[in-house]
Amino acid sequence: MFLHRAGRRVGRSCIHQIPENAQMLLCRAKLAAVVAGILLCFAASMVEATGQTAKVPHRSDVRTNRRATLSADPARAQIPDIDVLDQNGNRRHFYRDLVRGKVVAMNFIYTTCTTICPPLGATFGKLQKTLGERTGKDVFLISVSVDPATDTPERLRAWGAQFGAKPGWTLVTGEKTELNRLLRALGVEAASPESHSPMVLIVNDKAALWKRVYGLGSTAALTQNIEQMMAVAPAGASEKRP
Amino acid sequence: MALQQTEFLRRALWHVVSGVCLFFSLGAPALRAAPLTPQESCGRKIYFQGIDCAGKEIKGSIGDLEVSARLQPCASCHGADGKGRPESGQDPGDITWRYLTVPYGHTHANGRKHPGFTPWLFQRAVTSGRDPAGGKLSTLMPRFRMSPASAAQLVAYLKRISTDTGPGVEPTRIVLGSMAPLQGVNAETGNAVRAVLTAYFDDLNQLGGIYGRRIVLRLAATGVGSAMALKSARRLMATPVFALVAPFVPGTEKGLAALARASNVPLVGLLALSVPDDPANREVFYLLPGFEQLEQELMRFAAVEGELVPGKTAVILADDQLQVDVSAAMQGTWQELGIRRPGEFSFSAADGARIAGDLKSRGIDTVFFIGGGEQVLQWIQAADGVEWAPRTFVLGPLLDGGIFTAPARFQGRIFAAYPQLQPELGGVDEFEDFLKRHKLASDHRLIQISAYCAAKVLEDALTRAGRNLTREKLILSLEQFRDFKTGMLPGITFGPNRRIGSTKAEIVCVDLASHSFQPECGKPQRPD
Repeated sequence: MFLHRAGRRVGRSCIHQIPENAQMLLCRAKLAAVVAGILLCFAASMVEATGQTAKVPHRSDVRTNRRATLSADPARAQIPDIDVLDQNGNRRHFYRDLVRGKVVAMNFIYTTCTTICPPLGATFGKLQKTLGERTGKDVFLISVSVDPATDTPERLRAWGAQFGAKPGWTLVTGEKTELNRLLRALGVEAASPESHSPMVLIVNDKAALWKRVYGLGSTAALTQNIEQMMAVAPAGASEKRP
Repeated sequence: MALQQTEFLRRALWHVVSGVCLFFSLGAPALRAAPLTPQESCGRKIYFQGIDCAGKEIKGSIGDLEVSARLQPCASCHGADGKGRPESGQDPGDITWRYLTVPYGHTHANGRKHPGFTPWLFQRAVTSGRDPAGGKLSTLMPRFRMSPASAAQLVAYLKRISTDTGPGVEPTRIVLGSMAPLQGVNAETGNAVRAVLTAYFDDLNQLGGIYGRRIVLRLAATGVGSAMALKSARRLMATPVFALVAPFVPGTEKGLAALARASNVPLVGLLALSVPDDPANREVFYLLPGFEQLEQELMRFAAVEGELVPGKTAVILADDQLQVDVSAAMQGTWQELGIRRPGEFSFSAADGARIAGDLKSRGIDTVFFIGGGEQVLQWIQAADGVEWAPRTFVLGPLLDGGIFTAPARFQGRIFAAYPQLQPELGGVDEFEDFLKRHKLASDHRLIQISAYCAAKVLEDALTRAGRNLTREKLILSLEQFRDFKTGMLPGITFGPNRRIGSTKAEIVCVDLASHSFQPECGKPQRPD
């Protein structure tokens, strides 16, 4: 039924000026893309369903970025490769240097936030301890400032140090408009720093999977979600098998 | 006659009613602002610092997360006034005792209802996360492991929180402190600073003070040596004072800044020649640039001319302490200018001729000299001895009249940076009138202007902070300063990451012909 509706919607959107056989091909291609998307959503929702914090999988919770179906490098198209400064004052490319090919968990903080950010920081601190040597190797933690006008690299370094941030946990700030572009792309843009989201975004870039988790929930559940994301095979891996 | 009596009674009644109203509107809450009892003080420590009276850290948990009350004390979510700081959809709620104990109970936005708290129910809420009806508090509220004694101290403080204005603030006065030397070579300058500050706050008190509170200025002498100055500062801060204004403590500036940080005492307009740009020290606010910023401005000035070639530039260090202060700032500016860090050379008078000869043979044509006025002159004479006159950039506040005796070869080759003053017509008139009214000599003009402007900045910040004054509010109100006009200095701007009000420098050229500093007397000229 759903497929049927989806098919009709695709059908209506086809441009009637195109020759009939070309229209048919275009419509089939679109239909195939929709079906592939639904299947991928289902596959991703299976991952989600095993998490404790988000019991109901939703299309918006898991974005599928299969290279084969969208573009040659869709994740990069989704995550702007903006210039950022890390806590040591080093200039980094957000996507290329911090996300590409990795499993990352991101939270969104600002250093003068006193209500929800300390628990968010403490959660990442505990996460880092729990994951041990895998942090910085199999999984990377990123804290993105939502108040870059105030948060200098020095401030971020001091903030991270309170929670025992070690290599493998990168805290980033940058030019405000650029960071806003990043936050918008990640779906966490807020009208003001005070209303920022307490969400943790887990990205498996190789498998092109995103997952959003409540950042103030249990650390054990967050760890479990990250481990599940780490266990997902990279996109295209099955295609490579003989 | 009867009519007159009635009128008299009516007026008398009016005065009595007015007086009572005034008492309740201003006097009554103010009178309650007595010093905190030992129990309340302990509660204050728990509330703001997350430590008990013995200094032991209080710990707790949020779900499976161990949290420290040092990192997340009550004040971080409930605010300094206890009324709650909503953030990201989380509303920590009002925990002032008056609100917690309302007889009609509470109904929360999520429908949770419960009666008012008692001390025991409050302790249960803090330690096990249950409201008086047994309902669960927000999962974000840490469950603290707190002794009954600590919980009682916290309750005692919550009863006082709305009238806790902080040390040095009393119902009818605000106590400020300042320091200056009374003896030694700086005694005369110290007296000039004291006189300006005393006169300024006298004027202010005659105009009614700030929100009806008089300013009491406590002045302490610095004594001899840094140790004595710091001891004196500790004593002054403990009296207690609310904030320090324009202290003049030659040689102890860094120690005093560190002490202000450790004691949480705001320090406005520290009169210092070395000004570390350190926003981590939230309490200390400078008005003018120090050596670090002046050196940076000299570098930028030289770079604008496009003649700053790394291979032809040298930094000469003649003073160990200055080297420590200035070198790090210079390193950042080389990076900012995209110029490879040039070579650094140590200078001593005995070895001056050899160093000058060596640098001349390397083709150096620009020198940044970090040292005092006498050393600058020794350097210039050494360079002249090998018939060489590189462009020499120096720190103006360290120069003395001897610089005008430099060899003629250096005409138009010496450049000095000073903190920029920006007198406005009205501001100059106001300052001159101030000196005249209080019969103050103007022999130490720069430091008098600095002290005067520091007092002006503090007055405005206190006014912006409001009547319910706390040190935190003062710091936040200072951080809101944007281009504040003092009438004598460039606009003062502070922010969360900015503690130097004006970083502007005036670059002048030493004109050996007229024995004066000129805006320009040879290349490089000051850019427009």
